[in-house]
Amino acid sequence: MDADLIIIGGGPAGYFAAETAAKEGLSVILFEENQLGGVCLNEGCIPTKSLLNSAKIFSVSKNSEKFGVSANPSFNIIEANKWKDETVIKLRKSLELLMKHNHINLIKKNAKIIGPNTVKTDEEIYKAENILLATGSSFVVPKIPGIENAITSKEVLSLQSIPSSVIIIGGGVIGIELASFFSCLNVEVTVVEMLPEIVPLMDAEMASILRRSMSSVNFLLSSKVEKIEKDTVYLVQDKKELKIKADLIIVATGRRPLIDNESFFSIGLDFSEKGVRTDERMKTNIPGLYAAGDITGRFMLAHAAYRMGQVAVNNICNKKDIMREFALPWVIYSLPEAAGVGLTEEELKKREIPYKKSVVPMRANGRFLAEHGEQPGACKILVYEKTGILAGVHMVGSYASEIISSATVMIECELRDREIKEIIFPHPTVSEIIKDSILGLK
Amino acid sequence: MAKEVILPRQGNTVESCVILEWKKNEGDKVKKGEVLCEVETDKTVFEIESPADGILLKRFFKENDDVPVMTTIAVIGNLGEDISSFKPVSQISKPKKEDNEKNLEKIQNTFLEEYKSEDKNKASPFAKSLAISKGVDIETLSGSGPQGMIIERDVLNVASEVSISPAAAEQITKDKLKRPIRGSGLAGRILLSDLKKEESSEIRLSTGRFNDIPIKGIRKIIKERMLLSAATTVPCTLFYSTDASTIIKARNLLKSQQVSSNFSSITINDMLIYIISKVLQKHPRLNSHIYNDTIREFENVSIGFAVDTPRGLMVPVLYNANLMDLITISTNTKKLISECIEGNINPDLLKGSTFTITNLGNSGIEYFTPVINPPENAILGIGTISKDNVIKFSLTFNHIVIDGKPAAEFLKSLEDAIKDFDITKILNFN
Repeated sequence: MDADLIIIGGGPAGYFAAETAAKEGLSVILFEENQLGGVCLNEGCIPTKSLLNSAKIFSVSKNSEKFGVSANPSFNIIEANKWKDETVIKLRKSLELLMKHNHINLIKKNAKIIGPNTVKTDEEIYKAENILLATGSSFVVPKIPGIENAITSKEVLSLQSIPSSVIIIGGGVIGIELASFFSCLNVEVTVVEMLPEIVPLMDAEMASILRRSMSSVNFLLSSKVEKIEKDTVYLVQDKKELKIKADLIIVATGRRPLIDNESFFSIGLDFSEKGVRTDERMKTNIPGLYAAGDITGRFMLAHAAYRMGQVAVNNICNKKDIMREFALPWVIYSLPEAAGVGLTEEELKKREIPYKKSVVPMRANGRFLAEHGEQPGACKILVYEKTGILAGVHMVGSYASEIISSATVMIECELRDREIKEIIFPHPTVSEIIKDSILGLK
Repeated sequence: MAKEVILPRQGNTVESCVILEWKKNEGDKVKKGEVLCEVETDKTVFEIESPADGILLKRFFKENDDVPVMTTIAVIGNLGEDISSFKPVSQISKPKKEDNEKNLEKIQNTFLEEYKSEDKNKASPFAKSLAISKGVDIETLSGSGPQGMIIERDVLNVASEVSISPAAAEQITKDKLKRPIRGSGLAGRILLSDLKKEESSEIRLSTGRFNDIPIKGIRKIIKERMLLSAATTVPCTLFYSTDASTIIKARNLLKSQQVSSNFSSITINDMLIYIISKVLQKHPRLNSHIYNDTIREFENVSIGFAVDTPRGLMVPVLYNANLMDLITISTNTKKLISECIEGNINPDLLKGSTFTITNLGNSGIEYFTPVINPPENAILGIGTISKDNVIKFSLTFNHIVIDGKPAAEFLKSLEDAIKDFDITKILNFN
């Protein structure tokens, strides 16, 4: 055996599992042929948050006259990219240090599973008691004629100039964040979504609030793209054919697990195109082989990947742990932000679970009103009718991304409305909206 | 360096083992892995191997000694080495039986004394020590054990290392539920959903998704009948094959245009029922019921036959089949089958059989082990008929009532009857 644990893939699932395992005293080999940090650090969460922040600062300073501030800002994409790149490099370096401090053997090579407990690079074979598969996901590029005229969010990260108009195909999380980025920069934005509402994972009522709060973006819902020609997108909406033009066409139709058919078949792994199947402990059907992160096709979020990696390592170390899904938060870093955790109203209805709900508009919150005026935004709370246990919290409005953690704790701890009522929230903060929503339950 | 031989722990419940036989004497040269002695637990016998090459310097116990597990029983080393430090501390050696009984009595007495002396606040010794180790004041607890005794669970309820959600805690108190040792929440936190599941969280974790289908209706009756069979019979199955050319010929004849079309609906199954009901009259022990200390042999033969319905297995009964001619058997059988499938059969026609047959021949099955339909004592499984006209029988009989030989004799009679079967005589063809 070359190590106690071999991890394939140095993204959030892989590197966090490596760190966790090393701290548990396991010897770890981590294979990553590209940069550490995966999609999240190199072409996803982190760089997009950096660029979005630049765009938001521009937008806020441009629209600050009503707050008594006048400015005539300009946006320099080269500088914004520089800041973004520096951030990514700093985080990447600290990750490399983290691996080094924990004595993790990082091998910068592509590795494939070739048998039980065995992986292979081009030249060598490595064996370990346990293997964690964390090879991530790639862009879904839909089969639309002329799709080569569109770029992905990855290429958006290295734009050298700002277009005057963009069409974004896909109204999911990535599409909405891109729409926010460009609309903050006064770019004319059109979002084309096949479904009748944006962001399918969101509570529908909140998704509608988010969409309406992005008033400068043109949303084409229930619309199917037929073909793309150079700068023109042909689509069908309600049986009507439409033709729209823009400087830049971006495809953001989600991600899918990076399935290695040949190697997975050869070892008898249970998988489908939706991902590698695991149980709640992240065990695959092959003894000693675990999977975590996007490769499982579940959740496709960096923080879910961290947790899956942790669950896998805990089980490898014989510590009982399972991947719980009921308190898994998500965030959209749009302007305004949106976030949620737990069940949506649609899910409760579908499962025929009796519930109580309360929706409080953001403008009822002191700090929000002081800082944003009567901008759209709301907090929706769902509790199980019978027990009063918190089932879901959904928000649109500034700070939602940070506030959602407190709701996550409440749901994880299975707190009930009567307990939450007694929690002290600092005043004035936007987080008080959670308490106010609970108090508003009938 | 001398090395000790330790009596290993065999499983969690074995506290001691009896040394059955020493295979080596003191002073013998032994190799690593060679068997030194045999020991016995209450379940099994196993061998103790030498952990090293060397001389067996000392055996600390005699044969028939009962030795606690993890005790040093011998030392391997070089001649002249000092072995005094290996001498086991607890040299409990006792002849097994009488002492065990005395021991049990002693434990019981101690238990009773403790029980009496703690009249006000009864607690099991384990609960007491657990309470001390967890810093729980046992005076503050109320017991949920027998006669209100404070037991492990009661201590764990207030001193568990996993947390519990307020909703789950309330539900436990309200419904007087047992608190699970671990839940599915944060670091094993017990959640409300952990209380609703009857199966342990261990099983729930490992099996993944599943569907629960309630056992009701015919399936519930089948469950009860099967359990009754398993609990009250000692089944033994004989497999037998025999030439069935006479039956195949008969069927071919009936299907041909040479005879009246009234006969064309007679099946192989009908012919087998006809033959079996005649043969059973000569073997009353197989055509019997069992009631407590009574075996009831029947003069007439009522054949139950298994029918697959959309709701599950049903067994309608053809009463006094031995008295019926082949046409009557065929007509009645068809009627019973269609009533079962349509679900409008008179429930009285589903009981009172004296012998049951079950036919898996159509499914290509050769042999199987049919389950006796109590209170009957035998069931005949009919398998597929091969291309060379060989039919396969599987006879399950209740060995409480029927021995192997008479069961075999029945199959032999059946073979003879099939060989003698002549459709032209039975249906009075010319």
